[in-house]
Amino acid sequence: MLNLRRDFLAGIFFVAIGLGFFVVSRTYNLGSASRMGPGYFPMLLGGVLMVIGALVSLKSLRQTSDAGESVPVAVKSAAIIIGSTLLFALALTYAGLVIAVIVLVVAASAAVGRQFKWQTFALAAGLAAFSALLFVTLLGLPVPLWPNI
Amino acid sequence: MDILNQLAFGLGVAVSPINLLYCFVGVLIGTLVGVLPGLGPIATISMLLPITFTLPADTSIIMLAGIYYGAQYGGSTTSILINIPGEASSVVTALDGHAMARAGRAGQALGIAAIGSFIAGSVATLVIALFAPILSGVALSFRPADYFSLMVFGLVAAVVLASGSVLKALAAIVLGLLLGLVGSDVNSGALRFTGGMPELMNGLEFVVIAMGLFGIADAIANVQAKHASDLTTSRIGTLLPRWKELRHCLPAIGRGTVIGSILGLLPGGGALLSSFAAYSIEKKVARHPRTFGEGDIRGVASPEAANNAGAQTSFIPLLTLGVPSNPTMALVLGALMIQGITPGPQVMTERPALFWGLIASMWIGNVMLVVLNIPLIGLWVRLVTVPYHYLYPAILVFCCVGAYTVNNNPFDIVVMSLAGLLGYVLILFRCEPAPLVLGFILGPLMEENMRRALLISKGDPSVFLTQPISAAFLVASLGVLCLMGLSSFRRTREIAMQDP
Repeated sequence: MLNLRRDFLAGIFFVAIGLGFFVVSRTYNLGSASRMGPGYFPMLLGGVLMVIGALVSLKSLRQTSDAGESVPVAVKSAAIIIGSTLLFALALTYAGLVIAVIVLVVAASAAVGRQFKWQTFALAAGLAAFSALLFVTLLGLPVPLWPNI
Repeated sequence: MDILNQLAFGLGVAVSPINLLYCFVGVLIGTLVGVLPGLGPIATISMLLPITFTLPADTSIIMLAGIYYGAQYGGSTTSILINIPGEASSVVTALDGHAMARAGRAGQALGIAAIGSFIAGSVATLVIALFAPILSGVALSFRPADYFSLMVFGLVAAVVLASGSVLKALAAIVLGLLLGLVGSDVNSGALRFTGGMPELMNGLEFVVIAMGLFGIADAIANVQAKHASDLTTSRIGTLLPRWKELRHCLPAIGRGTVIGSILGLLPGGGALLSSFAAYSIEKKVARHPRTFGEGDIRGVASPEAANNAGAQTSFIPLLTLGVPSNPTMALVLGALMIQGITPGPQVMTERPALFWGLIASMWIGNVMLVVLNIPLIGLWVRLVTVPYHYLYPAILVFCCVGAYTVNNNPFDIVVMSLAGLLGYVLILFRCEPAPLVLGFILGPLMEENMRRALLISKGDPSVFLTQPISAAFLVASLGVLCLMGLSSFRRTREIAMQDP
């Protein structure tokens, strides 16, 4: 059952994205085939994506499902990891690279429940030092190291 | 001999200290990620793309290529010793290689993998030197319609020959093509799909998307997975196979090299397909196929030769036609474009140092791999036991800092996070995110060629069918798709991909 639902959802997902691009493309100048405007090619592709998505969904209805195969959706891990990279973006802007890396590593370690272990802090400090050395000292990239006071 | 002269010129480029250094760094990192499960060459190359900004073009490509073929090498080491294929392309090596290791012949398995890879790598280098000039000569006569159809063929063939559902892979490609169009339109300057955000004017950054799809999404998918390790601390023993065994293996290495060299040329080919195909062919031609799976040395020699040859020849379509044949090549293409080089038939004449230097460096890199691996095998084996909860924070740090340095703008970190989320959703849908990158990089190129073709033909779409080269590519694409419809082909493909 799950296989069927997964492919069905995947198809719907692609149809929705295709539709989105299709609709937005139509607000741009389409032009003609000999003088394609900015909307022409994306509208075409949006249409193609909708057709493929519909085929994926339809095919899933005809398929016999691979029973017993479940897909664990790691909602918590996904939220923690995406959240910690977003936190990094914020921290880097206001607090600089060193603090941002430490925040990222500690926050991301919450995905496996290791955020309070001393090894995590050691890893965070090590990675902060390493990335400061590699990106700023060695490669000379303009990344702020410390809070801008 | 013109080719020998050019190879000698390439050798001169490749042995310059900086190129030697980065070739070494590339194969070292490649072996490392080949060894580590849960971290592959695609994610690594995406993470290292920002670093290549600061390097000269030929140096950065030499390093990235080193990562690609070095990873094949590292993958086979862990396959043999602990039955964990670090890379998908060394899955088949584990079958006989680990059986050999259990029988106390780990050293010989590692030795033959190294010798096979080295012979195949050397032959593949010659194949590139011989065929690339011919192919790029042909490509120079391509017109816009031909290019458009070539890209269609490349994309279609790439998904049919790769594993997984073809329909979903096609959807991923089209999604990639669309995402590639975000930003200002080259012809009219009109802004498309930017949602009014000025940061998107120049489009989505390729590096940022790649890091999100592979680095972040893989981290999410792997963080809860248990990496079981079957660590049989077997003695490695002597690395050099006996002369009798070597003679027994040479034909297998030869077959693997030929298969890999040919399959590497195909869109969708490369290391993975080559090793699977070589193993099943070896089983077919063997006089006593029963011994396969129980530690037959030919079952190590042939796929190892094939995956190395395939990894190298897959550079040919990229460097001569400008069309990447697999996701790793799409990343290399991205790296070239960052350096301001448009891959295509003109690369060989306009950037001979890059082209021949890369080819010569592959040979040097193969020598380095052999030398590097013999003393370091013990270290690689210990690295496999690094728990993923130490690895993934490091991956996240590299991705985040890397994304920021592309434009020195935290906006790109946000885009990368969203790409990571998209990648994870695709993984949940059992839809390979890799073809998306192929589409992403080809999107603007396809639009441009389609536009030019239709401009020349005054809007008549039949131009794609009346020009012979273009028509041939379209017919070939249709043929490949129809092949998928045949249930017998589909079954063979599934068997070849899952259970060698």
